[in-house]
Amino acid sequence: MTRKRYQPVLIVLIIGSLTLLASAGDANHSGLRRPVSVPAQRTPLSGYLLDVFRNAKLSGGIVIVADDCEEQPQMFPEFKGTVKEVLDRLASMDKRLNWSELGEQLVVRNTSSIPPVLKVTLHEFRFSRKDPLTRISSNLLGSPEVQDEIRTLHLVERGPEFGFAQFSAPSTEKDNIILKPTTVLDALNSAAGDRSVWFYRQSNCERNEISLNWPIR
Amino acid sequence: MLPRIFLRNAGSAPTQVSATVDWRNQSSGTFALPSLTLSPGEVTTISLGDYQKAGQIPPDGTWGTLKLAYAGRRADLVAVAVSYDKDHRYGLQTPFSEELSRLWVGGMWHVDATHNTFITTGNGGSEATTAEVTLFYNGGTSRYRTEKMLSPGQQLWLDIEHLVHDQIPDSDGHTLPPDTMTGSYELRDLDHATVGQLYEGKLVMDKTYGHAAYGCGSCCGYDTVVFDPTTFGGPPGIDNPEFIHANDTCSGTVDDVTGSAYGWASNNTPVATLPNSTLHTIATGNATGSSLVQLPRANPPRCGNTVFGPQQSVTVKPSITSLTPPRGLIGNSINVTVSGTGFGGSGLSMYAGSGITVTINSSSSTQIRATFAVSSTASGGNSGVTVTAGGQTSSPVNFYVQIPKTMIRDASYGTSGLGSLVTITNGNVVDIYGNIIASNECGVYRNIGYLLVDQESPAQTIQGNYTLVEQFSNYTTTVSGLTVPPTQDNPIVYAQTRLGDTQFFGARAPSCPSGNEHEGFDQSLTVQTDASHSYGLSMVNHIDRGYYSGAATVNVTINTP
Repeated sequence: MTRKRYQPVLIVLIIGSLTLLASAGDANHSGLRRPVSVPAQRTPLSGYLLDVFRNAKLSGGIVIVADDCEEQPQMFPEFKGTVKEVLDRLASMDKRLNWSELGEQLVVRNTSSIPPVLKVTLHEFRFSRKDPLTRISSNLLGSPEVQDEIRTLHLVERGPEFGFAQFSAPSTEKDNIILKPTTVLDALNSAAGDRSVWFYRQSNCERNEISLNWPIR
Repeated sequence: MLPRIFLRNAGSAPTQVSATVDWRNQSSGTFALPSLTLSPGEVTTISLGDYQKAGQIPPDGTWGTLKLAYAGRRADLVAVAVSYDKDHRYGLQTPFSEELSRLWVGGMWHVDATHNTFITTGNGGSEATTAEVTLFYNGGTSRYRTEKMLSPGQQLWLDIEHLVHDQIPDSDGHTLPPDTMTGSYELRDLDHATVGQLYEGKLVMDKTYGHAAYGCGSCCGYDTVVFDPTTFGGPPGIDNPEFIHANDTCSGTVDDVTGSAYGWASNNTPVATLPNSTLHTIATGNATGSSLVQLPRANPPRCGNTVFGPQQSVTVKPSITSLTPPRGLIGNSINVTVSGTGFGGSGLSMYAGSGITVTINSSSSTQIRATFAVSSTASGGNSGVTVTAGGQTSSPVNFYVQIPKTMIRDASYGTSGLGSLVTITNGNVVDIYGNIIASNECGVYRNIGYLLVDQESPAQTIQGNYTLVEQFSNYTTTVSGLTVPPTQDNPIVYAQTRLGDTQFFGARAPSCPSGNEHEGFDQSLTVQTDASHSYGLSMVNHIDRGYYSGAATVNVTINTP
């Protein structure tokens, strides 16, 4: 008779904190204090924000809700200062701009409220840190809770920009993450880790379309 | 004629002299004279005519060679052979030669109606040898060659008039033309290339006036006796055949005299040994190899043998045979295996050029594992890598610092780098490695295989850690609400050689694109090795993807170059 061996499974449990609207974070280690230098450029707001994230080596996400069919490019001046200072300057140009530090991640949005899809609460969400980020977000948006919300809001989810394939090393037990309960936004931030940036875009055009990309992986 | 031998002991001690006459008439023979002892300063004359009268030498033995032997220093015995008529009006005298040589050159011969020349050579050694006589004529452009095996003491005689008039063929079957009158000659010991056994004698007769001229060629010696090369540098553990070369002062040629050398030795046997003509290197360091070789010295007309002692400076140093990998991406740390020999010496260190910091992780006598940290400011291209051990530094071997230049399609993937066009209605998108990167999608996609290559010619693929940044421009679409994709940073890890791009157009099922929804844009790429160093790639693609009049399409066209 063969004796079956059971490998102990290490589960990293991260409890969703539902801190969507809180400006949290250790002031001494805040990403908002990081220096940033961005050249003058004509670009949509999302492009400028991505440059801020890249330059300051921040992780987190960007939420853009466009009432127009296209996000219009604007002229942004050269900036040198801290992340908070550049966000303050952008906020002076667009009063809708908001940002939150959620743990290590910074989330910047051009809306006063979080889009409903990102606020959906999931009973449980599992992923591996070795999974491709597009696969994690695909599974996240494909969860029944999120799909219900998408159907309710009559949203069409456009496929992401996959870019170049990542060499995927085998997962180990410590790579497995289980979040419960969690929100879509918290799950995305967890997947972003300390270096990636997600980009949620919603356009209210002929159809209400959403897309979720990982421009910084 | 009254043939006599004049002898004087010029030395300071008594000396015993023995003489031998090799006489010639129609035949030939040898007669040994009684030995005699000469006191210091004593002069004596020996009359060969007395021995002819006594019948010990034939009366018609009109020519001959004389061989004298004595114990003493060079030139202690002064000897002259003379033959004059009884009135001392006609006659000749010849000195004696003390030299034996492997080569005699420069002698002249003359033969016509009133002249004749006799040339002789003999074996003065203790073993048999082959003597070769070559007569040069017709301005030195033609030759008459004869050779003969000579026992010790045996002679070879040439009567040139006889050779010409009687058309005697040489060893190769050639004859001297009947009108040949003058030329030069050489004598060569064919069996003793360095220290020869031949002596030389020659007489030119003038029949008109009864004049006879004695002359001789010059013996040929050597100078500049050296190891070739004079210095040796190489790795441990090899056997190197050594050569000793000597300059022949007559011909100007360099002769290989290795076979005559003896007394091979090294002064530092832990570094290298030289038991014979093969140098064996053992460990890094310096040594001197030496040998002895006895050769005629270049000091004609005397060519006495001299023992030369050539030496060779030996440097045993580390040697690099390969670097694996031999190249690496700028701004990266590359694990490099250095293979070779001589790495076991004290004070092991390695240098890889400006901008590359080397850390040795482990080493043996034949292998070093090291990390090359290539600075982002290093110069691209070849950089010499050297290993120093035991105080000696190897010759450099190049490590190539790669600068990203462009991407090319990976011909080993799909059809010239293009994967299949895949349409899905509620399926998975799978990347070039087979990983599922999205599920429940409806649309069309294609994977494209690329290789990142460097600035070399031919270009070489690049492996390394970097960020491949995609930028998009010239965007067009038929779909309201779609917009140019954001600039995308793709981290690439060292394990990736083939790069796989996935171009997808679609939406999450059950939504699907309609029959004429598509988009197009340009894709340009930049390799970023750190926050402040990036390299724009020359390749620019144009991508059209989606549905064109119902046809699923993903076209990727290289616009540039």
